Amino acid sequence: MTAVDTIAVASPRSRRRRLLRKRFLRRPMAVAGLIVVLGFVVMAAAAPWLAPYAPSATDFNALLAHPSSNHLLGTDSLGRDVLSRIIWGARASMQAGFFSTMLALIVAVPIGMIAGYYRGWVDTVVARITDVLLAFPFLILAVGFSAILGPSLLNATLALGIGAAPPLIRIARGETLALREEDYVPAAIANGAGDATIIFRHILPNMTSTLIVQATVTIPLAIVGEAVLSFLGLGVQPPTPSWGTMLQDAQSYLAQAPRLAIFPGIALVLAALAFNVLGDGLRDILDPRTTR
Amino acid sequence: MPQPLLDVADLSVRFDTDDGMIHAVDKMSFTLGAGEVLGIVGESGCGKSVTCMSLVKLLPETAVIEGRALFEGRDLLAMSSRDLRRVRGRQISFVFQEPMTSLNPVFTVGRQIGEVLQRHLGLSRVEARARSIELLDLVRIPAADRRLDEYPHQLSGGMRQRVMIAMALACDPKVLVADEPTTALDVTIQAGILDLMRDIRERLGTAIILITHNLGVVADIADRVLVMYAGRKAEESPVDDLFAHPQHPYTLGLLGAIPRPYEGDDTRRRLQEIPGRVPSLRELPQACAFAERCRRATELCRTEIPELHEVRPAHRVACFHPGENAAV
Amino acid sequence: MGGFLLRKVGAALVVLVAASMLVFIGVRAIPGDPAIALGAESRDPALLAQIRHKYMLDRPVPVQYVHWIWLALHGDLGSDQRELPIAHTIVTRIPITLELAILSVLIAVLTGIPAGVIAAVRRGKPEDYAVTTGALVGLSVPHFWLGLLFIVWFAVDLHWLPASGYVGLSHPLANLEHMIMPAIVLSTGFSAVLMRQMRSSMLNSLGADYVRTARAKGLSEWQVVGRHALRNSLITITTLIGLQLGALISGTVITETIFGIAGFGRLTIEAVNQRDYGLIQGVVLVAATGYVVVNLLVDIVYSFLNPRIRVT
Repeated sequence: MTAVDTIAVASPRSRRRRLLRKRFLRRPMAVAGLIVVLGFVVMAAAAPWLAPYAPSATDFNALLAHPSSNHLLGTDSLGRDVLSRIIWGARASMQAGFFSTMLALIVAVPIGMIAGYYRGWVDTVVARITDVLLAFPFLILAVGFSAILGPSLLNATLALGIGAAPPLIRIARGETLALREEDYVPAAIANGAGDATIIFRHILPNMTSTLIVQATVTIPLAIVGEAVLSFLGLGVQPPTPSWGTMLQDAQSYLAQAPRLAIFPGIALVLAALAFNVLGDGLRDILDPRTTR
Repeated sequence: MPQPLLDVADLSVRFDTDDGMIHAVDKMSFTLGAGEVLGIVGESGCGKSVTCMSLVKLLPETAVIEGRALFEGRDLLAMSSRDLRRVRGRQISFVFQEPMTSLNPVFTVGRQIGEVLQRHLGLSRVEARARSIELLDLVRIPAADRRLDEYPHQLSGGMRQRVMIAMALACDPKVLVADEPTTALDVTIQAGILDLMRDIRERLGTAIILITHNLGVVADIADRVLVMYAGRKAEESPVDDLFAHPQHPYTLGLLGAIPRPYEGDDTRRRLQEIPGRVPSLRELPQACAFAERCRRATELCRTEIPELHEVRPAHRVACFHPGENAAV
Repeated sequence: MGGFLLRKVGAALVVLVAASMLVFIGVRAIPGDPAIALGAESRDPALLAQIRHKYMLDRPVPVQYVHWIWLALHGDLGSDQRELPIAHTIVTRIPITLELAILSVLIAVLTGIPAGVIAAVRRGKPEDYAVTTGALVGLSVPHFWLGLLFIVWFAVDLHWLPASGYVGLSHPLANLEHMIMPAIVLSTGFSAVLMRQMRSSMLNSLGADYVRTARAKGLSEWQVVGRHALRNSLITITTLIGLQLGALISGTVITETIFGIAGFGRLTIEAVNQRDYGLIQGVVLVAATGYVVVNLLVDIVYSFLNPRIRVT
């Protein structure tokens, strides 16, 4: 890459980033979403230091205790501090959310791009397989894979990732199909670019905004998915805390201590809402048609 | 002189957007007589469409419209929404530029034409169908009966535009506003549409406002021409006189930019471009809007807005230095 | 249109066959002796021999598959751990889930679509913010939590509705009492999505040229919005509805579990929890078939509604 290339590439890109940042800051909802998301990430990462108690620490003197200065959100049926379990539970949720989405992207994007770029029989095969996987609703697919793989957080993450991949394959394929018709593709070929260069340096960067938006939509689905799987006993195994298992435990005590169901649920809703709001905001600012 | 059908005075339209105010039209005044064909010419963004759409409030909510627009004596801009809806499609009709997107893809042609008839004339479905066939015949669409049950995507571009015209003429309006009716069509089809419009004016006596950026179209069928620039009227004249004796430097520029085929003599004419760009519509300059691009511009042009004044019979210009000498 | 439909049906069949293969392989991919898995992990040699014979486990895999499909097409999905015929269990449970699903779809459609339209027509005004925010929240609330909340409020605290259980349709009022909470809970996600899609679709339609033409024709706002814009938007979102139904099916799994309804959804969980692979096989196959068929129906409906496909 010559010096001229570097200059020509650097300025429009950094200008665009500044524009995007400006547009983002004009949207208080999206900013709020980002702050909450970061809050959860920090909560998950700093759990050992943030949580007042160890998540499995039982206190048989304070079973199903009401919120108090000792236990800000009370305790559960085994005397474990609810607040600490929620903080530690964020780990399972964030891990499941991020890693499964990353897995889905790493698997789906190359497959989708290859299918969309080369077309022909590769495309047909990929499209049919994707259709088959899409024939199973996301959760059923995840439940099915969990059943095969066995219950654990890792397997749940894998299952969610596999379940989230088919729609992403379809999107990556669709975008590639559209983008390969753009004028810069034959121009690049005329300049002697090989297939890999075109795919990675020309088509992929133009897909990133769509992919980012899709990721921010998939993550909350994965977070809720993890909670569902754990709720059903297919994900995180006790004693590791997860918002899903907390809700499962809470079921037996709905009459006496409904708060055991309410608090983890609120955490779930906040996390999902934050990602959704962030995703909406990102979609808005990355869409060239919106004017602000 | 008989009272004009349409008498627009001091029409101003601005758009109140997030990014500021855009002055699309500034104190436009013009008249339209019954059965007359008025051509409004100017480049994209000069306000010609906005002017006409503002008459029946077809603009988005951010538009602020001021002025007076008398139609048969009543001020359109002061009418209630209900009264205005009775004018739209009934007395004043529109034909737009893109026939494919201007027709609803999920309704048949017959349904879309019939809608206007049922709404304004209270025709029953059967009566509406009969009248629709008459209308399709009027716009020279063959096999009208079958066409009525077809969908827009089944028709060619030229036919769709004819359907739009038929829809616009359904209630025999006094004014037909055609906004760039031929721009989206092939040149060969264009001639057919213009022919049709000429025919309509002769047979039905409908007044037509033809909005276009193409002077050739105007030369073809207009009686009078109005040249707009940056939201203001630059020149107004009967059509023959405009082409024979253009006065405004902008008009001269437009004429100079018309490509002419090689005429067998040695004069190889270069297309003359008008240097510079259309000014931003965000401020209302207290000067001639064309001054920056004009070779005749003087200090006066940059400090005062030129008023329209008559330089030849029925031929008015808004310029401090009008004249047909192109060499200036 | 005939060609379009034929291709869709063909594609659906191919997908079904492939899905069945996937299920088949999935169950046999579980490490260990498939006979043990299918026999619910009993070690009784007589039972195992019987299972081996029944499922032809000593024959090559393709033969097994064909045999399995053959049995399935005849309505024989084998027996579960408790020796009960799976097909029978499924058939008795499906109508319950069907009722739940239909109720939920009805509620979602009757709330989501009008809300989306209102939000689009009143863009930027308070009604729009209310709908958009409500939809965002509805999207983010996991419905099993919502179910628990509903049980706490309406059953435990207020005693208005029963917390769980199911009563057959022969007692319509009691049936409704038991179904109303699960149906509302299940409809939340779908309704939220509908609101957003409808709003987005209507905004597109309202900005289209043909709406300008409709206004220029002097039609009333009702006619412009309700006839011209709405028709286009509804057609556009038909395809999206098909995709959402999958999420709805997934949702019945949790909802039935929480509300103690013995439907098809809960059967899935029971099967998984009991590691009843014969049952899992049958259930997943039926679920996938149902989903494919529903999507096919949605495609057919769409091809009728969209004139560009119906007439050419």
